[in-house]
Amino acid sequence: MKYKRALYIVLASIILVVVVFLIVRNNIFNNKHVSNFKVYEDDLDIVYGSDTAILNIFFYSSYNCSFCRKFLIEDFPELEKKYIHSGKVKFILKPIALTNNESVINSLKIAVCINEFGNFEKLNELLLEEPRVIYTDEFISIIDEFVEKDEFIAECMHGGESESYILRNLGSFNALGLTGTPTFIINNRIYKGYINFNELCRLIEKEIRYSLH
Amino acid sequence: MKTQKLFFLIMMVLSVAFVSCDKDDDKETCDSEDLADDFGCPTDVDALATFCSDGVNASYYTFNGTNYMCTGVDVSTCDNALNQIGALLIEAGCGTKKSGSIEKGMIELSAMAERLLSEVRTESLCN
Repeated sequence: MKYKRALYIVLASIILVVVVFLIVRNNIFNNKHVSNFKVYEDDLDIVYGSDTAILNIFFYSSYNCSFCRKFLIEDFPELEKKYIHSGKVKFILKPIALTNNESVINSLKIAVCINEFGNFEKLNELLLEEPRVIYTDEFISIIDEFVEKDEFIAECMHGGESESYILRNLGSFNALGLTGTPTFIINNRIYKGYINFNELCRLIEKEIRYSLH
Repeated sequence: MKTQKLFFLIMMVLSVAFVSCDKDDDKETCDSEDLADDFGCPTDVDALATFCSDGVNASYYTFNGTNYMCTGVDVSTCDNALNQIGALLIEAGCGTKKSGSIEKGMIELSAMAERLLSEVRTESLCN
């Protein structure tokens, strides 16, 4: 009798451990974590979509990261067509510099300043097409021209606003415990790594259902 | 009583095992980078490398499971690491190295990038 009871307890323990293991493994494979730190939209974020959207997707990205570019070139247009233009999703891009390299920092500063005070489309296209352009003399001279011609860009670039913004992004990136780009934050859940459009659709539908309940 | 002790012992051992197997929460940040374009690789050559930096002391590239250390904490200090990876990629069938370095003036832009660069100059400001 005693032996049987011990056997049941051991079996129950094994089952419990297997269940816990499966839950942990499933979480790892889904690449999903819930964060205690809440991400907010910043004035200088690169935002696509309406304030009335059902769902906010925060996207930590770097032009040096090939999978960020892959997402933005191949998948983002479909996301924009299906969810952003229909008012379901607001996509908030938080550019991030994982380096102190001056050219990288300046390229992000000019990107957020042009997004705020100019037309970002062509610059975004260029940085996605050829991120190494930021190291060329011509790119550097274009930044100087913009600063010279436009007082708002000049203030944004050299008044400390864009620099603080880049640092704030790095701060929230670290506070979330993130280690790489791209990373998506949806309903405070963290999805690390590249997600293609089909997979993202599945997540969006799930998160919209969650948001509406 | 004995079985209860055994149960607690098993649970303790398993808890310790789970906790010690958990991932370290370090501050290292990593980016995946496809070097295929930089080194003119054919589509069947996997040129995916990862750049990691702790932002304080060190950075490195990982390629095919091997770490190649950089001399500082950012990508601009990784010429040597990229040269080593480049040599492996060329051995694997990639073309002549176009640019493993990011020094100013060393980058050849594609026609498309040149076109975009001139469009950026003329179309980015609101005037």
